[in-house]
Amino acid sequence: MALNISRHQKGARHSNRAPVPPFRSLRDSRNRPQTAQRVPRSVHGVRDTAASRVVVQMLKPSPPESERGRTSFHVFTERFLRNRRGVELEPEERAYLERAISEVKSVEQRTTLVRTGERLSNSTLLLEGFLCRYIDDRRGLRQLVAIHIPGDFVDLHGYPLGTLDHDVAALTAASVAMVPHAALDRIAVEKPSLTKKLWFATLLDAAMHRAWVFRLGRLDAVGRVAHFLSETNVRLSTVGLSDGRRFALDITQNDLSEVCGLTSVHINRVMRQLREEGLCVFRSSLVEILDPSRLAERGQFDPDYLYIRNDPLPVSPR
Amino acid sequence: MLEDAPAVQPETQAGVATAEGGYVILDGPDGVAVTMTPEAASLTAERLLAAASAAERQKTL
Repeated sequence: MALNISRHQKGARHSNRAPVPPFRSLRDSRNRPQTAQRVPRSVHGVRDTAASRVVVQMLKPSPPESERGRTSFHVFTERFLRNRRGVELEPEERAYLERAISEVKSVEQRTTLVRTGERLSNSTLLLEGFLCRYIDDRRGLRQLVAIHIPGDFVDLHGYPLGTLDHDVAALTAASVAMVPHAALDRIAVEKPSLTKKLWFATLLDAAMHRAWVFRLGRLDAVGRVAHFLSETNVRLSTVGLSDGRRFALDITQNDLSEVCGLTSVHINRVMRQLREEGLCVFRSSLVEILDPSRLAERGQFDPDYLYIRNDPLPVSPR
Repeated sequence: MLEDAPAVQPETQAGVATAEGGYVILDGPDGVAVTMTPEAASLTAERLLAAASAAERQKTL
């Protein structure tokens, strides 16, 4: 089958897309609930899942024998665990993980990929775009509990857990690679060192969750946004999607408010403050950090918990 | 050690309340970050004043 990869623009921006309506809650009864849809994958004889709106654009072919193990074919896993302190995927491990991918598909923005309590049989490797994990309160108001960038294994923890205690959704249009849990079973048996590295990836998520708790619990409004943008800058720099000062972040002000536990009114004021203080500008889905060190200091951000091997930033905030 | 960490103390710094786009934003103290309608802010202010007066009386008991 011909490989038809539709590469998104940096940050998965679509210049001709319609304005994104306020993304208050996917469960808000005032908005039509949106769910990811999958079309039948009859080519692989895979049983259909529940109806959804994700369109399968391509299926990853198995690499020819001559290509197996070559790093040049590792197009899907190349960003996974890149430049992390304490872990490095060997070419053979990366090739093994590539072969474990059963399909690659595109996801429309604002669609739900996984719902709380849904029985899982795959884990999702994010290739392009931004995904989020979130929990809604009883009123349907959302708290984002994680943002995922290209290279993240979004729900790897769903493999041992079987179900998730939160939802996973696409903040932007995205491309994802699916790794069946059956393949992860084989990895666990045949590749213990790779298994340990997959475990490392879930622990990185846990480290970011701890930082998230700190951000929401101890920082004021400006600090929360400064911390989040500093963290996102470092994460995106690690996978080559930030030059250390500028990166595309195609999320709405409402999304940012749900990350930081603030209202959009408050976010608006905070962004103005950050701009006036010469720290950061966030405009038209582009973040420009004017002073990375001062922004990190304002957000009490220390990138140590991201376990970066080689500091990708021009100025190291400490 | 955990025992050496300072316990969370009552705030001695006042929060800053400002008006923004028809809402009241309360920044601080510390990690407080709240946006309220003017009505909710007024009622909160009344309750805060009443509680502050009661707390003052408790201090003198």
